[in-house]
Amino acid sequence: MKRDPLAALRLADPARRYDLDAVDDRALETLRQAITMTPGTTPRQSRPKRGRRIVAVAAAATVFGGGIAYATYSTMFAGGANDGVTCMTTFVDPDRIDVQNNPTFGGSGLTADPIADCATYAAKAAVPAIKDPVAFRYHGYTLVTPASEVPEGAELIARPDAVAQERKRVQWALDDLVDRPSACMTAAQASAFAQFALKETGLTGWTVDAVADDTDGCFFPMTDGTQQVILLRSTPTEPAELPPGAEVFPLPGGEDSKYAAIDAQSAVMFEALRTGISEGCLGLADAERLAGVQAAEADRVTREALGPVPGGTPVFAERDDALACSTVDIMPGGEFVIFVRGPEVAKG
Amino acid sequence: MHPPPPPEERFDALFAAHRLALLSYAVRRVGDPQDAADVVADTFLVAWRRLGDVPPGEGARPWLFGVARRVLGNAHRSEARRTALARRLGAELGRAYVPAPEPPGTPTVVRALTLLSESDAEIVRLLAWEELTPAQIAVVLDLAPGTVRVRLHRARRRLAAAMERIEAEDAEPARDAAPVKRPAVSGHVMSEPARAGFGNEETA
Repeated sequence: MKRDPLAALRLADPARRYDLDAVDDRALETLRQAITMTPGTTPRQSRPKRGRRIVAVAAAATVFGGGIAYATYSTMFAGGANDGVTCMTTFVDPDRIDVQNNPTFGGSGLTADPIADCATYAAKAAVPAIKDPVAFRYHGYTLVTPASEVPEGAELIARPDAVAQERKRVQWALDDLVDRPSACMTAAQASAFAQFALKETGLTGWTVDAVADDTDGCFFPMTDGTQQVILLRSTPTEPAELPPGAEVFPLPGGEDSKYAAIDAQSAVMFEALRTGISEGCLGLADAERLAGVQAAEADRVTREALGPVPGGTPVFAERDDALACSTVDIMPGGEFVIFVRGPEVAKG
Repeated sequence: MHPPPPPEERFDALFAAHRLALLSYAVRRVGDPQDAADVVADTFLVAWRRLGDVPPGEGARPWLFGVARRVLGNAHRSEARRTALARRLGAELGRAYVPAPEPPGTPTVVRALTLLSESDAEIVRLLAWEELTPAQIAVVLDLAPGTVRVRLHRARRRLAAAMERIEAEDAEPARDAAPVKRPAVSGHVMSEPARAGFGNEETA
């Protein structure tokens, strides 16, 4: 008798031996809570960029062994100015992109100008630049498409002015993982770090808010939305209050964790870039070369730990002869992005 | 314009929508309830850490199964590892296991399945148990959808042929032909790598 093998296979389903509906919801809820109390890591980008600021702080917490509350309080950054940009030659609803055949490109916001960023990413990916590009927000995404492809409901983004560009550059320096002394800075450390970041950019006219929040917690600097001011804000160090009965488990990330190797290599990379670029004095080409070596090693370790991942750790270089020595910033957000800026010839 | 949901909110929705499907996936592939709980915990942990990579909507499920498959692969390659995260869930799963009378002998289809290549067997398992479409199976196995369709067609045909052969041999156990090797598994879990047979070489 011919039988449908799939029907027979369904009858032999091993899950029939389990009454999964009887599994206590509290066990699942405990697992969910335990997972969300762990720090996130750096998701390699394969889909449109949104909420990347969230990832940035969570990844920083991972890299520096931050506390378990980071994932919760990082939500305050959602939708911030550091969201990435997704570039398209033909509009595709970003919520419906086939990630296996993703026709878009892009990454972290390199500047305050999404159009300029897409041109940079196009050059990096060796794909044609978008013709007649227009930047807009759509369903929470920052997109750039040809003008003829702008969908209904899009909110056009004006070209940024010089102040917005400056603010973005300062924010990059403030988010930098290379020179940050700790994931959990005291108020004094955060203030000093903000001053260092300002000096690194070479920009003038900026001030650091002296009125710091004096509560306990980890302090971080952030740009004011409208002025040339760096604000210092703190976040709690204690984890969110757990519901009755919830059990706190140790954080994953021991020696057997596949993420441990990535985190360890990240720390090595930061150290190498800090001593080689921030504390040294390199011309742009040498700084870019050093960053490239570290990026390649980071990608190798990630591949070994997680398997093939799309993209990699891009390195962007920008010549700025006003600087005496090159600077380096690393922004985590979907992937690590390394940005070196400096003079053709070091003057140190 | 819709603001992006906070990560916890998105993860909560993901967890709620797919937790039972992942539990089912896990218990179908590993025999120990605690191991199954570990697979679920590790998979959701990856999803949390790579939340930005999880496709929205219906795309999330095959993505999660793809992660779970890699987690299983790691588990099979290494020493059994207990995840503290899943301790309580593992105990619950153990309680949810319902002993049932063993069928007379290992079901034919289970024995036949072990005669397919592992990837072909997984294709039919994903279709029959997880009820995924060929396109979704392609995501799980990181194959082209067209490849999955071709291999699915081939796997169904071979599975049916294997079942017929096993039944014929069971009916005539003393015949000269070499008997089909019976799997050592008890029948409720097929976690062992499948054995090759019937010229089921990989072509894709």
